[in-house]
Amino acid sequence: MRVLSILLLLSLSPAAPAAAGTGVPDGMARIPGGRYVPLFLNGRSSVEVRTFALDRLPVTRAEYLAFVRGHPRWQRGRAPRALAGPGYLAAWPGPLAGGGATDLRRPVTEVSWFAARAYCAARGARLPTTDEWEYAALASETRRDASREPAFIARLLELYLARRPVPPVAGSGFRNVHGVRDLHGVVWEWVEDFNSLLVTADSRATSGRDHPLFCAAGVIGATDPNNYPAFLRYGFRAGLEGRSTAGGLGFRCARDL
Amino acid sequence: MRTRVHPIIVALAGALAACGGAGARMAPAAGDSPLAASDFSVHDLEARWRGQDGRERTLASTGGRVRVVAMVYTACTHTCPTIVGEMKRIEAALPAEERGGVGFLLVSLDPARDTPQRLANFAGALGLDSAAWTLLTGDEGAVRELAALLGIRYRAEADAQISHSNTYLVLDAQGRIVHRQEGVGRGTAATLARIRQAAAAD
Repeated sequence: MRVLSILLLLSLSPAAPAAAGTGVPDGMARIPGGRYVPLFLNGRSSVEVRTFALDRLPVTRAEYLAFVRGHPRWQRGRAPRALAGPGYLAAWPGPLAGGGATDLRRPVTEVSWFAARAYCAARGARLPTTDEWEYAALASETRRDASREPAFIARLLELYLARRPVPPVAGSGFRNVHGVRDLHGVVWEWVEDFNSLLVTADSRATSGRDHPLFCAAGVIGATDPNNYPAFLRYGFRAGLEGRSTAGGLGFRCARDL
Repeated sequence: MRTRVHPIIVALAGALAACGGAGARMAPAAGDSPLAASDFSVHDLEARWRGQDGRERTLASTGGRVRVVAMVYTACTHTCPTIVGEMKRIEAALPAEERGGVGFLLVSLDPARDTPQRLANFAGALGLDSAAWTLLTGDEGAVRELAALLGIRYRAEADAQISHSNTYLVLDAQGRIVHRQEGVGRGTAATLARIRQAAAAD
């Protein structure tokens, strides 16, 4: 009950005052830097993440629609297939129509990495790195790192399993301690270095270490074999190409601070 | 909790990302591979690079001839020398009169360390003829973008090495991908055939 009222309070509190004077742009949250232990260490003991800003919400269809209006080369039917696969914005009623009022509030999906990157660049931002995204996603409503709390991990799994083909409107997911929403259970999200996980045609014998990632043996080499949600995220990214699109794949932007 | 959740996850992971790879769900339809995506050329990438001579280049500025391209790094002690070696064998296998129509492009995966000078030293050590071979270094974002376009995965390792896909590709004179070779040591016949075909079409 107490947790509930805290949640209620958090959700009712006015949109965090755009952190005047801290240099954090509107709509973004400051993620204080620190060290974390990623699912795959690749020989490191932990990874340092520098303080950065991350969008509080995933990019919505309305925001993406405004972008393609201003950047015609990213409109459906105009974007080169090599940069945006055949499913690019396929569910939109038209190249300049993102759907009804509710649809426009949903996270934009069916966008390729190239497109997501172009959107962020147009805003003077960039995609978060895998480490930045995973670091921000460790947080629960109350703790910066809840990744070793079995109840938190179990909850994330339930959120992942409950996902719908059409995502709910942006902001439906829980708000973590940084003030960032929807990192879990709403859409998968692009990261800048999505293509850093080696699964095929590897150049080094040792890089085959990721290959059994999706098999039972994949837990070998992982820092926390109980973190199934993280396995799912890494597994999903490993299957992506830069031009891939999917109905459950969106993005948000980040910036250096 | 764990025993309750585990089977569901195995099922979900199976659907999403079975051992064959998560790509299955998003696998492009046949005939729509990036190779067929001829509506785009690497020449359309706007990123600026530096060559081994220190001069600023774009990928378009390396065009006008067929090119064999790989992404490597000079501190590589594993397969990069093998990839370059295979590209050199391709160069040597081309009939002398066709050789001038084919360029060889090595783009660094390690822009922080690979200065133009280091690229020049690397080219010198391996005896790469600068008329045929262009070595490029750029910024991190440009490297990530080109790698994504070429379908090359890479990652820095703790030991200062960079794991990367063992891939090289053939670009036609206009910068379109016309062939992709996954893995070295599998023979050069297919690549040579595509190079000569692309050069003849030009």
